[in-house]
Amino acid sequence: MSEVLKVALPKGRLGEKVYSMFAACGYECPELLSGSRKLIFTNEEKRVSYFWVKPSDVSVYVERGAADIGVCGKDILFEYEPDVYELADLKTGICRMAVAAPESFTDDLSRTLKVATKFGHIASEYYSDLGRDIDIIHLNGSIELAPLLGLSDVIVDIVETGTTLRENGLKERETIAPVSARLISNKASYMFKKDMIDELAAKLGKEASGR
Amino acid sequence: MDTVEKTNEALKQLYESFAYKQYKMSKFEEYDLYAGNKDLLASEGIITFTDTNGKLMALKPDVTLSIVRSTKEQAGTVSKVFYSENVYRISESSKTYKEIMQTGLECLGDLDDYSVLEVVLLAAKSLLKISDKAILSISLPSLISSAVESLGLGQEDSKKALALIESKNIHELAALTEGCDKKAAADLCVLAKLSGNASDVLEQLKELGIGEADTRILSLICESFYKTGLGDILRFDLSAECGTAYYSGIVLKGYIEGIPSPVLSGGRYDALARRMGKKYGAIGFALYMDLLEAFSKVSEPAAAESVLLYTEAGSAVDVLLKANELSEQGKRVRAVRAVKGGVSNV
Repeated sequence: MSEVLKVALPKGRLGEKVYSMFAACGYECPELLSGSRKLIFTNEEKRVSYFWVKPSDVSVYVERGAADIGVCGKDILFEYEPDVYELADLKTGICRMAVAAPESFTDDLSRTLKVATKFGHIASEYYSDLGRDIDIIHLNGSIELAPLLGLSDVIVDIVETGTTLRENGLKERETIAPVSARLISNKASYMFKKDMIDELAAKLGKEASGR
Repeated sequence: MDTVEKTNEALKQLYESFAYKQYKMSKFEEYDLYAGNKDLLASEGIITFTDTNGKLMALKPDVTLSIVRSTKEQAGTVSKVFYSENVYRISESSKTYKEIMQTGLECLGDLDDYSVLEVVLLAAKSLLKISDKAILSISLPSLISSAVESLGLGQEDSKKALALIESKNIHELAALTEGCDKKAAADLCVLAKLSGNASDVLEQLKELGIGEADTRILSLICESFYKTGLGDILRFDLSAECGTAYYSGIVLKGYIEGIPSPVLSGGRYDALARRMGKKYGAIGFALYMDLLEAFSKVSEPAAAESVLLYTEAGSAVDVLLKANELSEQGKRVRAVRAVKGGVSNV
């Protein structure tokens, strides 16, 4: 079998959207959407092999070389800072990393700010740049609940449309950074499969700009 | 002998064949050596302890600093040493301290072009001692840093630009440099993307109008590799390590197919030597032997074993004699006691 590019895709809606971009660029693998219980899907003719992984694990698979390339949100790259190349912005899965708080919140600079988040590293970097002392409360879901129950003053989380925030009486205070899906590559794989990866990245970049 | 030991032995012979002398050092160094040069170390965190005389000591996290410290300046001479030592660093992945075996060499003193070419050639040959599916990637950070400087970005944005270039993030680099001179920003994006076959990259550098004086060392390396038949494993990748504080000339990264991160890392570090009060030129590289260990486990099947099955009823001395006989025949023998329903000692 000739050299195959191993691609880690994030499970879920974003992954399916991204796969459709790969397919539109000529890297299709119809079996992937067949509902099969297989874990790895290979199209030998197109020299590409896909597998679905948890979105936050994509960068781990790529950094450790189990996948040559992968697609993950910029939020994951900010949070875990994996040692990978970031080759293209796929301009999908667009949202932002933001600070939100209850409508009535006013920041009291004389006390430590309690921040609930899934993204501890991003939050601490952001507030350390501002010179603000914070207490990070790590949560794994339903972050919006934390300020409502007095667990935290503010939250740092992904905001797409802001509907969930509004429905819970929260208001977006600051945007920390824009987020979208990024094509990433393992550094060693890039050395050995440069031509394949460059070609794919260029096609995906074009596809993303055309959408 | 396992693969790592075999590779180490082969590397030792290679370095000795170019008149490099083995350098042995103590496990400990005075902490002050590292405290003043923390920004030059590969990882944060140093294991320290207080010696019986009250001095604060450290388990060495780096070999190069010790070698530079102990190598004296002597006009017109070049000191060539190689080493195989354990260093103690925080692992990037587990965030805990790890003992990492490093083998490498350093060439310090009145360096000329030959010294540089010799070290680069030895880096390539070191990789080939591990596998023929190897790539030696070379960058020259000064090309990128002067292109970034010419854009007139502030200190913070320049730092950001270098970090983006290191991760080949050209789309964000283009956005960051939007307000700068259009041609200079576009040229930087082209430069940052330049990687691949050495002669092709040299050609593209010429097209970008980068003077031959700036790329002279790359041209010499390219010529020497093609003439020694090693051209296929050489790549130039200008984005690598462009934000480094450690290197001041060429930077080397060595890759082996099947190992997800570089196994060889090195380059020219005159500025580091100068910081330690030495006015000589310095170049070297290290191979991370712990990465090879994982690689060899994948590539080498486990050796076959003879199983010597015995029962409690038999004589232990007889079993030992048999095991000894098999071992002396060169077989790997595992004595296993048979018990009801299976075996023990497995």
